[in-house]
Amino acid sequence: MLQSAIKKKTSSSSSSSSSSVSMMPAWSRLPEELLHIISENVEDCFDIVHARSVSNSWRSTFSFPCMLRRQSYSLPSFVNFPSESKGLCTLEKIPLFLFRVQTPPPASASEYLLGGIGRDESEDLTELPSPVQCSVKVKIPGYEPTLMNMRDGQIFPLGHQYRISCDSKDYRSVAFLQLNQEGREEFIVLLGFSSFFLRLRSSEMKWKLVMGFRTPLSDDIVTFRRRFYVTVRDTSLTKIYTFRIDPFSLRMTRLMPLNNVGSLKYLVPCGNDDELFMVEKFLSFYNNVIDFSRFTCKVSRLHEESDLWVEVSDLGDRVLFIRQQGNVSCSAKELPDGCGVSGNSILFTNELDNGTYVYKYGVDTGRGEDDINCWNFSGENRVTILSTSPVVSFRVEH
Amino acid sequence: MSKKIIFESSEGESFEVDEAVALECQTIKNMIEDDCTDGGIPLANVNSATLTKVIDYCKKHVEAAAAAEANAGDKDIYGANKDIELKTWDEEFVKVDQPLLFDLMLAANFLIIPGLLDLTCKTMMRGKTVLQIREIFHIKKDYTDAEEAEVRKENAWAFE
Repeated sequence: MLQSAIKKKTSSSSSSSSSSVSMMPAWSRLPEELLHIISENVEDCFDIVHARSVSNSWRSTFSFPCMLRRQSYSLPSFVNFPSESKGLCTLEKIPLFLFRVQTPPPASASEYLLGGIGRDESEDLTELPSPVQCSVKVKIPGYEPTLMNMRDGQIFPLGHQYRISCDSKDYRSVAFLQLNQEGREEFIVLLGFSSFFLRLRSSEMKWKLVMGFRTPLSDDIVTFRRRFYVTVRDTSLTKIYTFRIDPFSLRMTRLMPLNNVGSLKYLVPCGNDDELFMVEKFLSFYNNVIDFSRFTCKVSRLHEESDLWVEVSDLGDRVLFIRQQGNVSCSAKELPDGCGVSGNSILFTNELDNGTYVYKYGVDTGRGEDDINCWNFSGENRVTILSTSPVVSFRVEH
Repeated sequence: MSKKIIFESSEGESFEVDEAVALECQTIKNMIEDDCTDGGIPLANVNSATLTKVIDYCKKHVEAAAAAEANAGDKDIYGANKDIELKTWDEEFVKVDQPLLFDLMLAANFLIIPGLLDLTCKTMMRGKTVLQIREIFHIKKDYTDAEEAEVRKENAWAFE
């Protein structure tokens, strides 16, 4: 393109001042070279899907967005571990989105959906809007399935989540790392199954037991900067520890500090491997009695070099979502103003709740004995959790 | 006193700019190097409205580059902030109607302003429906029924 334009320039400048350049196509006729440049620059994956739907030539110019491509891996089954199973199981990489449903002003609440998105495989496509347009179907237990036009809201990509097909109730969670070791591409899967962790390397295609625990119970497995991080309960189930697991050597490193008995711990990776946060949730006491109506939180950021959790009081513009199916975060900068979800906050969407709140740091609860130096519910925006799984659905009043 | 370059829009209107600003356009840079800019540069395919915007863009980016260089010593946080500020400025800059955005893209392509070309291309499809795109670019649907069904499938998504 550069060269063709330079050619145009030389041909025009040779007769420069007298006859001027006249290669301009009429407005609306898009030169093909520009269509190529556009196709390389479009960022939103659903904008790409729309562009692909325009015509045959556009369809061949815009390639299907990788963001929406669902990869799946066939792995040996692990349900009879330590005996080998003959069958296979499928690990899927699923694109994850936050969708804000458009509500006409002066709406006093915003509705959100958070979850994995896939092709709508239902055969009946007659109810789709005509003309062709991206739509998203939502089925929430207890509610009528709805079909929404994707442009009747805002959709924000939140990366991917992994899911393994398994009916066993012993399966708990899974994490996936794509690594390049000595010039060789390889993926490594870490699985929480029964009271073990199992690891599989794509070069071996065999599940291997991660040694080091007697009866662990794991809630979270996440990946951060080429390694796995897990939460593990001790045998008495009263303490939760956090460990780093090296994907190759399976060496485990316990992260410090260890105190905070009685708290629940959640691991939340942020951005593109930028930070790893740990949210700890404590029971709240009032007049020395447990107050079940509320709890408080502490947030720490991993200091990788020293294997230490360092407490933080500021998350910048980040919002952390605590979910049943893996915690995620997003930048509130991408959300519109006044939508009820703002930066530097935590949202618990892992339990159905008809009256929860966004958690913020240093909230004055109005109760003298409460510690102000922690994360507390802010009382500003009432949140209703309508569904927790498989899709999180919540409403925020504003 | 820096050297001035004179552009002439398709309407024959003259625009005087600093040479440094004109140098943001690779095409003009080549012309300046070939020393064929005397008596002004006629841009018969760029109208005044578009040219005004193009000059605004080049000016802003020349200033930003100069500011970044001046602060090169104490860069770290400051430099990052500047980047964000320029990005925000760019975002505001392309909030224009579709014809002007299109003209800007063509002008950026013709004058070879890579930053502006990427910016306008990136914005071109944002939030547009299939029908709107067809309307804007006067494209007729050329799908067979089978292809249309395939396209429809690709547009049907579901939370699961």
